[in-house]
Amino acid sequence: MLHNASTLALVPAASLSGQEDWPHAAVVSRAEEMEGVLTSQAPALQWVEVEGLIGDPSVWARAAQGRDELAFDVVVLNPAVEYSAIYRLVDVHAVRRVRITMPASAGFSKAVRLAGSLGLPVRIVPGQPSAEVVRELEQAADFYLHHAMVEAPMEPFHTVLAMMHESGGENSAATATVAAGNASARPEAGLAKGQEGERKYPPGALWIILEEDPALYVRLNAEGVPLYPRTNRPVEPEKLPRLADFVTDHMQSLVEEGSECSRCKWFEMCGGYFKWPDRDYVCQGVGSLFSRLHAASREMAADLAEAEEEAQR
Amino acid sequence: MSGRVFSVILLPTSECNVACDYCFEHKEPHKLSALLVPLLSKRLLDHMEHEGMEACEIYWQGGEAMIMGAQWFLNAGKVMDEAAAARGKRFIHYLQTNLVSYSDVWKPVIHSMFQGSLGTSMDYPNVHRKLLKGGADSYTTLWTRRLREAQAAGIRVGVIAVLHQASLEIGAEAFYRYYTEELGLEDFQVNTPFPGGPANESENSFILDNAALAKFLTELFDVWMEQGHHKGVALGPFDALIHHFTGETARLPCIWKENCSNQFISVDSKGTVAQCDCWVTSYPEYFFGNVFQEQDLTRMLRTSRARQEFVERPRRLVEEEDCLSCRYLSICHGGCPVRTYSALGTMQAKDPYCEVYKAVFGRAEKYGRQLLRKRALLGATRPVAPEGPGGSTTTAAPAQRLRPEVAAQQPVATTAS
Repeated sequence: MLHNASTLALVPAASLSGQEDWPHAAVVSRAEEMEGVLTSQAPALQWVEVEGLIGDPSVWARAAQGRDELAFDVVVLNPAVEYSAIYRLVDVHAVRRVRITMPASAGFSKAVRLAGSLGLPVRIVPGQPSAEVVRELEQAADFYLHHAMVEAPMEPFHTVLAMMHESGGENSAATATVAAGNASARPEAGLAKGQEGERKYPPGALWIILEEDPALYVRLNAEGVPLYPRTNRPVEPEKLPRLADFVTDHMQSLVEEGSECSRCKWFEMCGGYFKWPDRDYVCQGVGSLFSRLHAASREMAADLAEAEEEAQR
Repeated sequence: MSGRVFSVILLPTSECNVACDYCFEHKEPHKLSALLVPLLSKRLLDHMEHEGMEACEIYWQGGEAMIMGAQWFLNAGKVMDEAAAARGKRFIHYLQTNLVSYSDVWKPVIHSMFQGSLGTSMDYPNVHRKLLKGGADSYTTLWTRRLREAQAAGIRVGVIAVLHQASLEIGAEAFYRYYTEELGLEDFQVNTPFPGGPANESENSFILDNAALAKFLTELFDVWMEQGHHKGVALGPFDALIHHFTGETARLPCIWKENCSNQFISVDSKGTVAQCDCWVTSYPEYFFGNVFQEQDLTRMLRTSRARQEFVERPRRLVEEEDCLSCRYLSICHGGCPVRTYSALGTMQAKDPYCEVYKAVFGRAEKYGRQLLRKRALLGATRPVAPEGPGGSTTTAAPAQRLRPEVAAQQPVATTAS
């Protein structure tokens, strides 16, 4: 079930033969693995995730040679400390697509600022943030929303904002939908609709935006066994058949146990993202992040409407 | 993905035929031998091949480049271009000259090798550029005559102006009019001065007060937006900043690159390699190596300890200075290493013109917003110039300003180019 056209597998580079014909991303965590992926002939290699090597200039010197369609997702594991090393990616960014991924750990916003200033797309993985980190996420969102110099997308803010804007900015509790067993979390399921006032994103969109929905992105260990999102825990064999329904199952179970999600107006978009892997995580503060983006989407809609009116006058 | 740009500021001689007050270069009578041009080409092409780069921009300057003679350039250009073509690569040549020895003999060279363009320099008022025999006025007279001759030969001329105290005193309006009305230029650029090279008596007189310089530059920006932008007059670096702030592709000058060490090197007539012309002519402690003595330029650049300081500079600045919190980090990155080094004795600090740049960036951002708003209101998909006093918008073919990326590197103490 893993190696199909609609699921992308993130595979340790050492486990790849270079002949894989199913969609995958190579995860490079040692400098010596870089040469292999750069010269890979694997037809279905989608991108390279480079983890923990931001401090090694030789890796980036090699990656900057030539011009290539193969994109890099550079994971900065300790952004508060390693942020300045993002400058090493300037040459790489000139010859291939590069994105910076980082955990939302204390001090991560320095890396956000620098990546944004270098025009690099960013993916911030919030995980289950502390109150301090939630405040930093709000600052990062403000930076993304209001800093004139930011041109590249910053996820999840960018797509959440776009979805809110496309949906008219309104959100509704998704309890009924989820309880009724809307099983599909694939983007096409939600986005294909689009009648006025209707949701234009799939339930649990945040999981997809952050590339953590196992229906679309499966991270494998060295033995080829899928891992649960944001953990190193292998999926049990008996759970594999429902891995593609992980997000909807998770959402449904949260509703059934009466968690705060069932009363949260952002649940449909969030999909209980913040309740994983610790279901007892308290979302206080996270909601304000969504509210901030929601307010920005309404402001944007108003500005656009005003500009349109002004242009017609 | 813009692709990597690799440029070489090539100094075929450090000799010069004029005597500017502020020149700090060591004017040794040495010339690049034609016999070494094939080897130089090979070294550069090997490096390009290793790095996967298709083209290399060669910025010829000096000393005074025209001292080499027109025929020398024709021969050198032919050798280089044939060597590049044989390896499926390309050299693109640009010329920076003081124009003093320009004559008709240069016309075919400039049209064939330099795409019909050249870059030169003139300050206003000119008080520091002088002929070997004769003062600044004689220099201005001769230079202006040569400019007219070059223009009459169909050569597009871009001019770099280095600001000094008298420029600030004469004011932005008069300064602008000199270049656009008196010289009839549609493409010129202003550079900030810096006291490069070993200390000398005249150096202090070139250090400008930052507040006064910022005032002058922002006023000049206003004059240009009011009188020239809508007519297609290109005034660097303001034009690049406007492009940036209106979301267009902008080639910002080298002083504001993410990391200049990624983009160019300079090679002198003896094969010395350094970061740029300022370093190769003035600071031996920062030489990277010698391209004629070392077989592998890529290896030289990778292993040079001196170069590592340049490579690491932006990283250190965001850690140690306040650059990370600056609104304009994305278009400045701590500014120019040589401006910093010449003023502070270290390059691991932000550019001393920080406050000046911020003032200019602020002005550019303001005008950029105005233009964007105007475009939005007009529903324009292409850039629209603001209506100026003259009403209509004209698009003049701008002269190819020489060294679009590296031109800003012109120090106050410079060769007369």
